[in-house]
Amino acid sequence: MKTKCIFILIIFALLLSGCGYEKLPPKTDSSSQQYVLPKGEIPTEADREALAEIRAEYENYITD
Amino acid sequence: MSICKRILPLLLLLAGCTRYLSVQPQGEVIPSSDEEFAALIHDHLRDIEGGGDAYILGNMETVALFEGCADDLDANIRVGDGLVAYAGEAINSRMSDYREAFEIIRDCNIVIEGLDGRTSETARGALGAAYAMKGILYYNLLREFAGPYNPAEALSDPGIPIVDKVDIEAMPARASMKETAQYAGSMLKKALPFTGNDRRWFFTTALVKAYQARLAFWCEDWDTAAAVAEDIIEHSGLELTPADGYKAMLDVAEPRGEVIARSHINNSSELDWYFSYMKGYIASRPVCAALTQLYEPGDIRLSTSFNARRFNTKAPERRVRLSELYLIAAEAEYHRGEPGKALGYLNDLRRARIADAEDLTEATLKPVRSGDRITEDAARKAITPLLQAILDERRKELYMEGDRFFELKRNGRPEWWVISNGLKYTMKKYLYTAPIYKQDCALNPDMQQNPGYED
Repeated sequence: MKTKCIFILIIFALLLSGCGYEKLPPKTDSSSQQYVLPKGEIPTEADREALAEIRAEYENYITD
Repeated sequence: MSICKRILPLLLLLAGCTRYLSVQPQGEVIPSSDEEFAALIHDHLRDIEGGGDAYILGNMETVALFEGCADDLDANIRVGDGLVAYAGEAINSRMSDYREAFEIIRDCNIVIEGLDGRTSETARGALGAAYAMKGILYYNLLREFAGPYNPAEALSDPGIPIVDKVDIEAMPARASMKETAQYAGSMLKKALPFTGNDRRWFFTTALVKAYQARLAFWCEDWDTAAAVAEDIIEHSGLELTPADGYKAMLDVAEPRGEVIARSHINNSSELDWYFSYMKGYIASRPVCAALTQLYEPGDIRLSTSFNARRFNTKAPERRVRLSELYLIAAEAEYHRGEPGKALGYLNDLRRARIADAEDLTEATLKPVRSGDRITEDAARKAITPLLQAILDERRKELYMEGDRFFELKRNGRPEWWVISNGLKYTMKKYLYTAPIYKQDCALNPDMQQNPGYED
């Protein structure tokens, strides 16, 4: 009788205190919260020449 | 049975009260009085006035961000300190702005729901400011987180989720661009009955109308843009500041002359130390050659904007000025097929900026330049001499006010490149639109991310 009573009480307690269903948002901790920034490319020779022209124009402007 | 008697209280204790999980607010109140609701608005007004607001009117930080992403300053001459080399470096910080904007929208919704129908002066002032802030935030979100506005596709192009009430469980998907624009417009319209000339609530009638004009202009509703801009020009009582007062008008903290509103009007803000650094960052990248070539002799903006080494000297603040309304009216009239009116507004502005300016006529307009970055207009047509003159004037006038990035976005999203640390980075079309907050897309399967940012 004792054992049965203890068993019933444990079941009863587990039902009362047990884990209920909780509507939680989907877990996102494991996903990245940032975007990977676009990667740069190696400039071509034409790009380097254009860059040199831009910088030369500036040097001329500030020395005039 | 005695064991049962001993175990039962223990089990009841275990299974008992769960209120210890109920977190009570500490040091905060749920607003109920007019003043408590108004305090939510005053927090944001204080941010605008102190220069801390990066989301409503914007501040020096947003000027630095958008000028760093645009091309008036030339990163190919020198990237400089504290500025992004191009927009690709700023995608994560811009994405965070999306979340911050919605936190302010939440506060506006709390105030609107709580004060709706109340008639005290405080309630009316706070309500007007809440509607105005919400309308402006949706306008900002539309420009930053939705693509360029195309009226022919605005009903299907994704805009911004409409959050119209306080509901922490709601997860609205993106509305269309047209719905977003209409919602922003409806908020500004609701603000108007509560506004006047009183600057205590910051959002005056002229300021709200100026945002109505900006919104219509962005959405290529040329009739509305022209009508609202002309209404402000004719009825606001403001006049264009002449050249001799131009520099002082830009430098002083309080709105003066043609300034309808500006960020950072509190000249003893706790953030002043930060802004002194920010000015240095902005002045560490030279102005590009293409901009310097637009100025005519006698243009007050030439001596005010940058020094002999082409480093910035203009106070980098966000402003709403009458001159912008002239430019909106000019471009809107151009698109409405009224070139005479467009030239009239353009000449009015030039006379206020250039000493002995000769009025432009259709016969004296310069031919369209080759090699310009903008080659098509907002309506996806080729640039004409008149439109080129309007866009040039806008570029000079609104230099260092965070406008150029959106001009590029509005007019064809041209691509260009910068070389930074030995690598070439291309400003691709998709980078003109910032990504929607990533966690929102993870939580809501209906939330559509912008092109280029899909994982």
